[in-house]
Amino acid sequence: MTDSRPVLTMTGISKSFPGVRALHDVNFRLFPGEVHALMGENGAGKSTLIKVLTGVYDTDAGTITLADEPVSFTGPMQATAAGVSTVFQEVNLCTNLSVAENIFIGREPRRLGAVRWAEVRRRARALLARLDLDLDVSAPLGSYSLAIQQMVAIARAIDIQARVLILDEPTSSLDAGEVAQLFRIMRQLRDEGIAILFVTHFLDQVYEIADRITVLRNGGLVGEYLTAELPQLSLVEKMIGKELDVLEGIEEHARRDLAALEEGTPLVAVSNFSRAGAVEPFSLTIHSGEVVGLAGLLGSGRTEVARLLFGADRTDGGQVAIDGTASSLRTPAQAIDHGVGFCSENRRAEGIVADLSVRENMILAMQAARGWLRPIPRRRQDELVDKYIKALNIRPADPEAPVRNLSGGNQQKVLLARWLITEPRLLILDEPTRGIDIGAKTEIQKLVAQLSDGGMAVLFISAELEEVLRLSHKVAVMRDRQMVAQLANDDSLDADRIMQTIASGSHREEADR
Amino acid sequence: MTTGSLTAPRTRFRLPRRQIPVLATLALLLVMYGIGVSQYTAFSNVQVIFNVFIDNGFLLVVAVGMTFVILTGGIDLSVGSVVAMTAMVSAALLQNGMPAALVLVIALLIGPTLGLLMGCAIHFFEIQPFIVTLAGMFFARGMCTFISGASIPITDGFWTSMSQERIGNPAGNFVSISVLIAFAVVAVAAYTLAYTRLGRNVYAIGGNPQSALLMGLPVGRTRIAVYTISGLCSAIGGILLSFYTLSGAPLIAVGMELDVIAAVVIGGTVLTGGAGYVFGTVLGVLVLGVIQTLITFDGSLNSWWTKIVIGGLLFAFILLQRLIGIRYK
Amino acid sequence: MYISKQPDQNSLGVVLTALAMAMGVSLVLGAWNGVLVAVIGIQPIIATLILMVAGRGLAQLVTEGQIITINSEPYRAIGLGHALTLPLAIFIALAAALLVAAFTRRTALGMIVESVGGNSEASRLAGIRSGRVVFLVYVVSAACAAVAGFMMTANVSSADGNAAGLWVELDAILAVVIGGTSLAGGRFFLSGTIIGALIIQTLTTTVYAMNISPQTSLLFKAVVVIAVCLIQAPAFRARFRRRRRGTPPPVAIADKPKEQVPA
Repeated sequence: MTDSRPVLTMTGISKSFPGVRALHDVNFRLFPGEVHALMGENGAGKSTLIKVLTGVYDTDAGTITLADEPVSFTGPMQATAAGVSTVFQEVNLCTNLSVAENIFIGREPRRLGAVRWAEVRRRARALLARLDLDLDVSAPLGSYSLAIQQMVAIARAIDIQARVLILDEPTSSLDAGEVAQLFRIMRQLRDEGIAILFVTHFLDQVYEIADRITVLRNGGLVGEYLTAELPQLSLVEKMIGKELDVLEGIEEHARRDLAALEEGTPLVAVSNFSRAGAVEPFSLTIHSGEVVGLAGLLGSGRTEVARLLFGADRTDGGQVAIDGTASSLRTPAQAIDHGVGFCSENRRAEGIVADLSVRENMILAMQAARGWLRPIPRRRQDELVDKYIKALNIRPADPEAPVRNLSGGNQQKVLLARWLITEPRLLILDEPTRGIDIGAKTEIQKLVAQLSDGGMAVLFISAELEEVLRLSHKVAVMRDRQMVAQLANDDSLDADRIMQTIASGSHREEADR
Repeated sequence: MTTGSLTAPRTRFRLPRRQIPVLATLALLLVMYGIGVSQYTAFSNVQVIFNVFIDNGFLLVVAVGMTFVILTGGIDLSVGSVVAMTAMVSAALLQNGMPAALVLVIALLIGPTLGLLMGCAIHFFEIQPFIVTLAGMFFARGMCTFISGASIPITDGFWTSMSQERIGNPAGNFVSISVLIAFAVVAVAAYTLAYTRLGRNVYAIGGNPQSALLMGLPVGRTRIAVYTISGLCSAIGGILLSFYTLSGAPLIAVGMELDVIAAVVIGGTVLTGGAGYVFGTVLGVLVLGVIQTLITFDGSLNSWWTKIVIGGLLFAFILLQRLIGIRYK
Repeated sequence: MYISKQPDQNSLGVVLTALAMAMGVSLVLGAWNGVLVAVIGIQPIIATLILMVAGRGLAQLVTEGQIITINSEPYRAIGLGHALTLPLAIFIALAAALLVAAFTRRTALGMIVESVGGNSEASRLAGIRSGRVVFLVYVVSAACAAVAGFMMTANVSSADGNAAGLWVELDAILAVVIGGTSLAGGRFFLSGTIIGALIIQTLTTTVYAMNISPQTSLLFKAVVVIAVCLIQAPAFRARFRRRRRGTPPPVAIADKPKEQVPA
């Protein structure tokens, strides 16, 4: 496979956005007839690289050659015309149109301006037959499952004489059988000589289908490897990296006696919570004063677990007991009544209300819990807000500043304050330290430690293992939408062991090595 | 696991579901007609049906234009005012002695121009369609009274002949030329939606504008085109209305946009866009027309019942769409 | 809104009953809208359109298509009466504004409404039951419309099911927009809305005074709406800024247009 010349080469690609260096001197190559996995954690630069390749962004530096010709696409359309087709995570087709039309819209065969429907259907059938799919091409696309829609999208992509097919997280919403179907088609296309760039977060899938892996981290190239020569553990290490610990400020407070903490009735005990397509059934107990870390790669189901616990999504089944009594967590309002708080990882879309002031954002959850008829007296509001602005060191320290004007770290602190004001018993923090500067990060970590010392239970989700290890009493490990292990954070637990668990799905077998 | 066995049973279920609103409209129409025939002997006269077309020809044309807009998921509130403006402009120009052909051309240009401008505002500045077309509605209505505060009669020969021309059979049944024009518009629109790229793009945008963009379809151009088409149809509707009334009045066709939207929705076009047919719109207009006729025939009921019934039907059909939409997911 | 005309006596009691009945009907209609939007999930424009069509029909049904003249002195006072040399209508309008201001700013309703409008998902995750809020908002809107109905009919001493309040919805939207409230939701400004309403009325009166047909004022309103919307539209401002800087617009294929019609 490797002896032929690459069909696509990207050399020295750099791309910056205001304040962020998204890609720095990245090289990437793609050979005909291979499946090449592009791996990396959130913010590693995968999607930026794809957008640069397909012309959505222009580059600051670097060259792209396609079949030895330098190219510079101005947009996905032009890229598609040149033979570089992309299929995105969310199926970008129109479910209200027929299967055939989805494949051909925009370039239907016509006679005198009129679309020749019979010809469209005939060609669609032929194309799908090539992918070994037998569909009713005049049925609306929406009547088929997501997996089929994904394959129709691929059919659309390869019809345009594609030489390079980019699959951007195509499997993230498919179940195992559907993934198998997709892989069958990918192998077939690979054997026909098409170069496939495959982005996924699922390690198993990479090892099942990819011939070669390129790893990115923090916008830089880590390396290009043959899959066969890269053990899973090294892959995880390369993706997560082992950054030097710059956060010396916090004592390793976590390694207290887990057994002592877990005495008595758990604050929250869920069993067999699950949600189809999001997370497999899991059970978890959280005690007062306990920090439970949730580790796993992006897309492993970390956020989904949090959302189920907060009632943001409905669980498909399972029970929950709060303080030992059976209860339910079906809506956020209900969860809040039970003393649960949740800081979403998606600050902008699910956290702050950008129009409102810092003060209003902070008291929002408390006010919602009280109902609109019982406003919090203004003096009380000011006291609370002042207290938390000081305690969390929020800048600017102006309660009336619109929250949109604050930096990411300060917005995060405002959200934390929103929940702390409600005095929750369980606080769920989903990636609270992502994308914020190092100072704010340290402060938030310290705060979590303090809160837990004060008796609050915290579910702490982070992609950074060091952070999880430093804070948690217990670490639950997610992998491919399953909670594969719950490890006590004692002296034997370190980042390597968590990585092994993430990589292998079970820590015991790997631990022997 | 073959894909065929995986999905085949579903499709058989879904296909008719998409037609449910249209079928419901058709059934409703037949029932209403049946009631009419059973209650009033005169109702069975074919001319009653023809009259429904004659009285609602302009509504039909405008509704066809609105179908395009709603199929993309937009809305055009300016249609009623544009109809009135077109009629006013024609009347005023004719009064000043301009030749009929020239007047026709000018009148037919006004609507599309306004539509084009509104489409551009919606596309380039990302302002909600309803507010842009609301402004268009104000504007056109204002222009009407700007031209004249009172009704202007039309005495032009071409107009009167168009108005009085009867095309019929020896039995005495007839339709007006307006009806033929309306049918022509319907035919062209149906062809455009079914067989041209423009038409298919309209459906695609209504289905999922983001996807349409990523599939490389000319979203902006189509969106602007759709409002232009709606403007053109309103202009044609305005001309037909002036044939019908032989005058231009500043307050004519007030609230017509609501009737038009109601007709389109009752005709089965989904308000969020992406599904619907011109044929359904024809049925929707017929339903409105038959309601009017029924209420006229009854005599004891007041004409305002029309509005109440239309409102009720609008509600029922939106609810139906909503239910189908939920199950569709 | 128009019911209040049936008892045409002068007794205060009858008038009050009529007012209460009319208000009751309005609240029911508002609740209907609220249910359509918040519970069934129909787009607001369309949901309210139903009543816009049918409501006028109902009004005509009630009045039997006639313009009902009102001879009740106490009722006419709502529109024509004076107190402290100022028309009573001004006091009513002020009272309504103050009442709504108190209703929103003294309770937490205002903030919660702004929060739901600004970011409904974030609000849901903060524990706000947004359905109830949306429902309430439509009821409040209907109550205000009822008061306006009293004033309008009292002012002209008659109730015209056909023409009363025609295009008022447009003026009202315009007033709110001019007042600085974004159509996309979020922050609202009652004081701005009052100023907006005054501006609209000034516009209308000016057009009257200039001896132009009152309908022509629509023309000016159209221009004002578009101007205000353009200024509010982020896309317009972005375009403008870009042009001023003189840099070519970056290719923005992935520019996701915001959800235009809230479902």
